[in-house]
Amino acid sequence: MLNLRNLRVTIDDYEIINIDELTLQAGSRLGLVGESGSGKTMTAKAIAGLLPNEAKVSGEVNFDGQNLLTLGDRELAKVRGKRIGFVFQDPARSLNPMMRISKQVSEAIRIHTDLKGKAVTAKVTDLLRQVQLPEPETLLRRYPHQLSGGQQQRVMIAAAIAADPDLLIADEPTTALDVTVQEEILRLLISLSEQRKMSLLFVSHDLGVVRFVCNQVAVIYGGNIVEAGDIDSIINRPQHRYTAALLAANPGMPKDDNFSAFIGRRLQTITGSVPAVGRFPSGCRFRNRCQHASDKCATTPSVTASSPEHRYLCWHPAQGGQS
Amino acid sequence: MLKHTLRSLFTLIFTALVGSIAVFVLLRQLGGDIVTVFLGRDAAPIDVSYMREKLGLNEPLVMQYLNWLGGIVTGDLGESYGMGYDIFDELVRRLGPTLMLTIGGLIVSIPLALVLGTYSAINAKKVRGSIVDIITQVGIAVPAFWAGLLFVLFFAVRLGWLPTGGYIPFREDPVKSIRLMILPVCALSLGVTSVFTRYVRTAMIDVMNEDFMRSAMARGRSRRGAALLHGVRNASIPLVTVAALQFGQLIAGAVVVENVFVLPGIGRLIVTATLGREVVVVQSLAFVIMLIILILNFLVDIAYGFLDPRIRDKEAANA
Amino acid sequence: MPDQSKELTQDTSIATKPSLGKRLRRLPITLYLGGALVTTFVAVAMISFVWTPYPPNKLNLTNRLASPGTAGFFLGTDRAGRDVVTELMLGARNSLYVSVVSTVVAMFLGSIIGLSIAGSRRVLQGPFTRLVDAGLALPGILTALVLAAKLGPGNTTATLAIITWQVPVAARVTIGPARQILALDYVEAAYGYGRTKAYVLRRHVLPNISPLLIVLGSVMFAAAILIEAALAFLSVGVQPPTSSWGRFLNETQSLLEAAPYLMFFPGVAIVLTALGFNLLGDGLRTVLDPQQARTGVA
Repeated sequence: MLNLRNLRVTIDDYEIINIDELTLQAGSRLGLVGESGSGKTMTAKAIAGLLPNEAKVSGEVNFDGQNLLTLGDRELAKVRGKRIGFVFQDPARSLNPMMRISKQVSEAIRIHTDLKGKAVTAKVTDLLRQVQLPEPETLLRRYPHQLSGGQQQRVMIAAAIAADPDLLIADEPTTALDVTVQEEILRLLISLSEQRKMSLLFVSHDLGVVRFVCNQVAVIYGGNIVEAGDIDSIINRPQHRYTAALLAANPGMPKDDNFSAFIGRRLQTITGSVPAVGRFPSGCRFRNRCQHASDKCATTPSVTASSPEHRYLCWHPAQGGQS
Repeated sequence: MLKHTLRSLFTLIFTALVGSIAVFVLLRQLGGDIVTVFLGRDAAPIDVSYMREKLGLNEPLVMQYLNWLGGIVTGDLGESYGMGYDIFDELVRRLGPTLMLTIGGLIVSIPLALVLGTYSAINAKKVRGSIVDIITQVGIAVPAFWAGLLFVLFFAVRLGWLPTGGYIPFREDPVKSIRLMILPVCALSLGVTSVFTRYVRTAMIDVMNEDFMRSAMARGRSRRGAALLHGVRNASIPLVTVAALQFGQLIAGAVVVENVFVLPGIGRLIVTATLGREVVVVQSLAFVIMLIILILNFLVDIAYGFLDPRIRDKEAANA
Repeated sequence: MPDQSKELTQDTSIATKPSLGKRLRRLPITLYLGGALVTTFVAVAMISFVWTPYPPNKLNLTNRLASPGTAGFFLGTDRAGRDVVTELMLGARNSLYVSVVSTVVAMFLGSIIGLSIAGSRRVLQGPFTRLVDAGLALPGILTALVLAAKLGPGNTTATLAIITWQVPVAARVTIGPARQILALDYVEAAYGYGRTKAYVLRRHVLPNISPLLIVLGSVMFAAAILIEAALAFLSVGVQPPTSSWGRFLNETQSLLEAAPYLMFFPGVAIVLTALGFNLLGDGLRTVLDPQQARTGVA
């Protein structure tokens, strides 16, 4: 349902994003994983049409057959909220501190539907219940600062799904929250996605969290998708060296449903650090940090598919090119 | 809420007291003796001692100060030595024109600035927004008295549409009264509107960069819609504080404008008194003007407490 | 374990530093415009010390109220026959003098006060800041009038008044950023080495806020020019025979019928000079404050 093709984003002559192909099937949950500076948030913004004015975008962001990049501001506004919902990282800052909860949650409803008055209030109360907030009626007239971080994020989610979108894009929704609350929010997202048949694009730096939530994953580095496909296949048999390094930095990657084993670890022991924008090497962008790089890596690797569910771009894959 | 109000009240009283002492001490201690300043250095000793008696200058300093403060409350501020008018009465009489001018300035400049500033912020990247920016940039460099002179030249002398000066109380003849006020208010508002518009613009641009604006747009608001519905509301609060700062500028402008348009207000009075070296008159006038500004600021402070939900609730939450 | 001893390939750096010409072109236009106006103003004022078309206050009684373009008088003459160009140049000189003195002193005092408040104990900071705020709210003209009533009108009074008015402004602007810097980790570390607060304020805070102070100085200069003109207009500022743009404007008020064009010259001079300093301040702010710039959607 969501398909990115030849998406290029440049800011100030620096190429921030260069994605040849990325697809999200209807009903599935795709995790977009990368370190900070990898371009994952920019990709989400590009889909939303919320890039800064200086950014130049080209390519296709096909949503249900329509290229969002060709739409003007007004048409995009009709898509946002109604067909694509967004949850951002820091709920404290993403909610208007001077506006009541009910007004913010109902915003998408009031924009995209004809509902008014009591009908809207009823829907908002119901939404708050769906995100598992206690005593929703009392919350309606509250202000964001009266809620805890976890509650605020639930409100954000309620506001994002208010107009029943088909796709929900969540950018690091739990990063700013306490670890104890993270699991609840993630489980909430999973259940909402399943109940509403809503696709989920989950952006995160934490491979463990992504493993918990998603069934598909795409690994992004330096604005390029380096590996994508079915999550089990990638986790168990990573091909791109960067993916392998990520997993190596996350020892004991469990395969069951026990969340406590997934508690996010920061990506630590990959030698070097992500280069600043504009300072990536030519060809494979990871080659200056890769132990297995060779001269061949100065040319951009082509796409190899070790299975229909598993694509990668690497000249020296970890599994030797077999699935 | 209550704590906030009390704190503002305390600030008001404290500052007013400090200000009054400052004015008082400044005027007594700085430069020469009040009497000498007024009568001149070669004044006859008899005149000098008479004036000292009359002005109560032979009493201890603290007594003089307290008498003065008491006088403000009871309405007895003494007389102008040079012109003989009762200071308090004159003050009250001249309040009308100055208030009309100042309030007129407020009524014109605040809404205008809000509209222009928001417009300029929303269109910040387009030519339209920049034009407003340029106009206000020039506007803050134009002195109010020059604007007044220009207006008089064009609209009064050349075109004859409006009168060159004078004042009629609103009660006597509303239409004519307003007609006489148009040019002065415009001259006064030019600078204040420009300054305020620039503040509004900056505040709106800042707000529009906030994360919750992004959230609003993510729910389907257009840029303009988000700016108007979320931005204005949030920006108004810091703007209210800034608006308070403009009161001082408005009064300062009123002083000058009154002189250009010959309006019988407090501004003209204090200038005349200053030129006549009437320290006693200036002392009281300056303090009263200062008090008016402080009270206005106090009112704005309270309003601020009402508007910002975070302040409203902080007290309740901590109770 | 991956072999970490292997030499890492250096990144091939793609970014290069733009040429000087390109960097100059990227500077904001306000900087150039403002700089041009300010330079003109200062130049005119300085030149007036060594040369003016006519000697200061030279009356040409046979040529009173000459219109611009009359032989020998480029912009005409005033009621007493004084050459307008000369008057303007002398007015510039006076404005420059008053503004420079008042701005420098006010910035100096104001920043010291601001830094002291920022560095004082937390309990004290609140009340002192409120005091400064109160000082801010009062208009400068009021102080000027109070001082002038006692001390008499004149340049000194005007200068003192402007200083009194601007000191709270400078202090207020300094307090915020100074507090922010004092809270930074490396500054706190300095205390650990045994540095006194005064040292920290002087060596760490001050250099960091100097861009801010430069911008502030420019803006305060513009304000000083406007106030000096207003005071001169009211006859509370500079007194005859010293020339001032404000006083010039005062004289033109009674000449609205006889010589209406006269009021343009000093007025435009005031506007252009104040505008110049404001633009310069704006341009400097854009250049010196790296956080300024993008205003697109975040």
